[in-house]
Amino acid sequence: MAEKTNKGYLTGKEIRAITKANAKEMKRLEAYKNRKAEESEFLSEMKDPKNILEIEDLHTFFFTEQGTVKAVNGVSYDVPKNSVVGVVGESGCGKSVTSMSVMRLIQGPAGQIVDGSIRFNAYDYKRNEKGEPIPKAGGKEGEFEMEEKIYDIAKMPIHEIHRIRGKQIAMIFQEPMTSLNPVFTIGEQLDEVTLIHVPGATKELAKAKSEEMLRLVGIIPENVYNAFPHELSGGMRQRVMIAMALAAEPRLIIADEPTTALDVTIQAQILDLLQDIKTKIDGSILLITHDLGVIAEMADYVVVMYAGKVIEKGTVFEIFQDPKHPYTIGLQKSKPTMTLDDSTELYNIPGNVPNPINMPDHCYFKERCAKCTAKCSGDYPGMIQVSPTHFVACHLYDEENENG
Amino acid sequence: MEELKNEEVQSKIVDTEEPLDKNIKLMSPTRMVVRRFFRSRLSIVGLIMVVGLFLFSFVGPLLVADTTADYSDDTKWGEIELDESGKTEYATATATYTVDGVEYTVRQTTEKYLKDNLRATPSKEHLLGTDNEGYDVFVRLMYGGRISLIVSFIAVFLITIIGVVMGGIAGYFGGAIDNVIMRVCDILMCLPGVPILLIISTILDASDIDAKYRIYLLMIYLTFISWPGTARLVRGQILSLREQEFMVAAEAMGYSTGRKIFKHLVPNVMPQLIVQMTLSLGSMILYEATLSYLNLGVKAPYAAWGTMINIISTNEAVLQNHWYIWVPAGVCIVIAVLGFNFVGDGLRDAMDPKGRR
Amino acid sequence: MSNLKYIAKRLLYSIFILLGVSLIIYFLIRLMPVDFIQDKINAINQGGATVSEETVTAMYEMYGLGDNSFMGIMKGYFNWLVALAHFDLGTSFVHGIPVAQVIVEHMGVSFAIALIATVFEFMIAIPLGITAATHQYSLRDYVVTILVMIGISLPSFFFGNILKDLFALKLGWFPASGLVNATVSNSGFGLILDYLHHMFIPVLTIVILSIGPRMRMTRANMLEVMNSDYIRTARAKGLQERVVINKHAFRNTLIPLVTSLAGLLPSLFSGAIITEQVFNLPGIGNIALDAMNRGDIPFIMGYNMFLALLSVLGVLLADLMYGLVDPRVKLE
Repeated sequence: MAEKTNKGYLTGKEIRAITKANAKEMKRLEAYKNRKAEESEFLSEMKDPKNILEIEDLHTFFFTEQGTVKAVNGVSYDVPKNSVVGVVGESGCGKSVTSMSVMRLIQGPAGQIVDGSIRFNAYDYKRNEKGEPIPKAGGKEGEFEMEEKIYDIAKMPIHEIHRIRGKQIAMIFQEPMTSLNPVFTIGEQLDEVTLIHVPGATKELAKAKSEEMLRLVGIIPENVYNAFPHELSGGMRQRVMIAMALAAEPRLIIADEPTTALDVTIQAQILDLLQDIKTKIDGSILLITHDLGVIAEMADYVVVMYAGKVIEKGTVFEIFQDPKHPYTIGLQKSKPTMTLDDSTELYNIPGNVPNPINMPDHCYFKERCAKCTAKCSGDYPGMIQVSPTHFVACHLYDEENENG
Repeated sequence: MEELKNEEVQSKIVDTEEPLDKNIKLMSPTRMVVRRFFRSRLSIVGLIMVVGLFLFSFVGPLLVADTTADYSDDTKWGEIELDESGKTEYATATATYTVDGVEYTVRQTTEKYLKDNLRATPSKEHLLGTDNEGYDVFVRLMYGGRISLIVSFIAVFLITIIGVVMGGIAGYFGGAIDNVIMRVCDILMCLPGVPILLIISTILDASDIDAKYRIYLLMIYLTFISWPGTARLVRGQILSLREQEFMVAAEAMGYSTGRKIFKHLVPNVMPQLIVQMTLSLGSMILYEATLSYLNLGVKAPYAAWGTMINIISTNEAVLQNHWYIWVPAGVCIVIAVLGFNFVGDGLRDAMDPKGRR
Repeated sequence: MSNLKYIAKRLLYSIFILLGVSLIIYFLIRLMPVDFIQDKINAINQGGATVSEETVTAMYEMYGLGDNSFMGIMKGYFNWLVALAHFDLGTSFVHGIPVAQVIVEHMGVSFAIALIATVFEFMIAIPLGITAATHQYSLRDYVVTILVMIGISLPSFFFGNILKDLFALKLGWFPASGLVNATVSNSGFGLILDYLHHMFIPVLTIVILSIGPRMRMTRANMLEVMNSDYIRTARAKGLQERVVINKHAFRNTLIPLVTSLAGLLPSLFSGAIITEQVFNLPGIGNIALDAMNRGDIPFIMGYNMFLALLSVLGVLLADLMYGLVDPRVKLE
């Protein structure tokens, strides 16, 4: 039949089966996403109170006609308070999807968080019985009583998510050119953040806050406050995006490849700015990038992802000085360095990131791995602890662990 | 740490029996389009409508209508065959008079013998009755469908050819040629459509063209004013495609102009073109019907759906009392246009996967 | 400054286009077989008098239709152009008054109907389009899409007649034709009510037929906007979905909608020929249809040029509007 002539293509029967299964699954998850729920249903406890964000066993799938794409397949990592966590990996390894899951920005109905939890330590307004924030005794205008609450973002109904977005976690996107609404001025878009997140905020307060934020990111407010996004350069727009992210004083900023779309010189400026901000704000940064240089410069902790899974995580020193996973080692070697010896060829990891549909059970890196052993054809390796902070998912270290 | 050269790794990869990439089954592109098209129920409904009308118009007459010219068969009716069986029609009129404050109502019934069997109600013999002249409505619906469908297909075909050639030339060569073609398009697009159509058809009225063929001349005119739309679409597409990398590559490969246009540009414009063609089929049917309704398209005794509705513009009694004479023709037009629109929409969604789940 | 330059350039273009359009129309009209003069002579003949050959020729000369050769038509065209330069569209054969006056007199009815219909069209189509887009693939989306598709597919003469048959002739709720009730003399408010009563079905016909394209345009734009990066940013800010749709997305969807508003200019003034014919309304479309049947060359010419002018202006206005609504667009 068709399989013979179209090897590698799905048959009509298979497609129908996929579609049917998808429709059922998507319907169930959409209903879960849109359900009404009491707050107690999505309140949670942190495993380690020093963390601000704990992602545990997160599964985010995309239900496509060609099969289920397991873009994030059991990812776990933590973001400690006042730290910068860098997530590295090739394109399509699921690092962005993880961060989008944290913001609950995955486009439904195809994309869904299927399993896992995302615990976040929120610092929110204390509210009275009516749900109104309580003004701080003796505080200035716009200051309120605060309290800490731990939400499980993955279990939140989608209409509650505005408690988190912008106020608790802000996001800086990869494409500054298209991420600002073209028909509103920079000022309008910045003010909006304060207006929605500070109860009772006036236009004047919002404007003052916006101008303060613009100055913080090194822009003279008078020049851009009334400008439209298209009148600014890419670097300037990214600064505005950063100002916008900072405006509500979030506890966590997710920067999703903030410099990828920019010129190299501008990249350096934006990174300096992020460095600078890191010291100024009382919060953490989750930095997603494929650029190891950026990670080395910025991050305290590093998470290496490959094909929807975390394969290694540890402090920046551990990952850079003592990488364990063959993939991480390959990544380090494929970084260009200045040497006098021209003969050394730049290393590349052979092969491509596997297509995330119908993943096998064994290690996904097996085919590309130079150190692959017989054991690698077995089950997917579990996380092995090599130091208090350093974890790796590779069969090479199984014995070490057992012996040690 | 073990050092391995790239080549060694490559050789190792060959050894592994089943690389991950090869393991995956994908959907073939054609199947993907077909599948997306058929997933939408509306496309299927549209397809059924269109196919049904085609069968009705082209196969139907062979079954129930007399397709030969002599009309000798008693059980079948032809397109222009009058039912001359004759009948008596009664007309009742009421009048009210007031004489000395008393109201009298007088009802008068007149009996009239008609030579032809006019406005017969639907029966076994005439499934949808006969019209104001005594023609079989059902049979004429089929013949009307032939005209509408053929005419719109011809027009769309011509529009596409001229549009692609003109748009292609303008987009590919640019400069002065582009300017001239686009200004001509501007002028043609500025012509008021319906009024000019009316003028043209009065001109055609005067020339001695057989009533059967004049609709084709009108279609040529429709082509004449409609090609600029297609030309603009093609030009726009080609202008944007020309900037893309694969065209730069084709340039660098030193391909001939013809190869560049027909192998690289045209296939990329095809999806939009097919959608546009399908959607214009519907609008051409509407155009034709409107003209026929204004008695400027296909004229009696030949049938077209619009012509069959024309009677109600002058005869309010038919409008009120004999729905079976005009409503079926209107329904046919709606089904045809709706069918093409559904199919066109389905094709658009199937070929342009943007914004799809 | 550059804006003015742009407008001047576009106006020049428009004049060029209008010249081309007028030339085509004039030739077509002169080729029309319907002969107003012949009709007039026939009428005189029927009255018993005979018209001499010289009088006939003189009459043709008087109306400028003496020479039907190519050069003769060209001459007629240039005469028309010269007159136009003096803001003179000529005198209508049928009505016996200046063409411009005929147009102005009958435009009111058409304009009123078109304006009311357009307002309703936008008021209904835009919310429908937005709700269909934000509930893509839901039952709501399907129902709305199917209904408006049926609306698009209805021929105006057919649907108009169905409504007329149903609401006017069968149910008797509305008058079947005309614009005023001839048996009652109304004035002031009563007259306006009477007008509206007569306009109801024609307006309903036009609205139902025109909602479709507008709704589909709104839906398509809305879908595109909803998938853009800045909508993701707006969501990431913590805005409620309602605000994201009604403020951020809608403001962007509005750009092509407002632009299309300018493109409506011709249809506002040109009259709906078919609808006016069906309901026998004294609008400009119906007058034009009549003029075409009777060979009123100056009026047909004037009317068609009026339409062409409106559509040229519509395109120009749409461009200017685009520059006005979309801050990214610079006119050049």
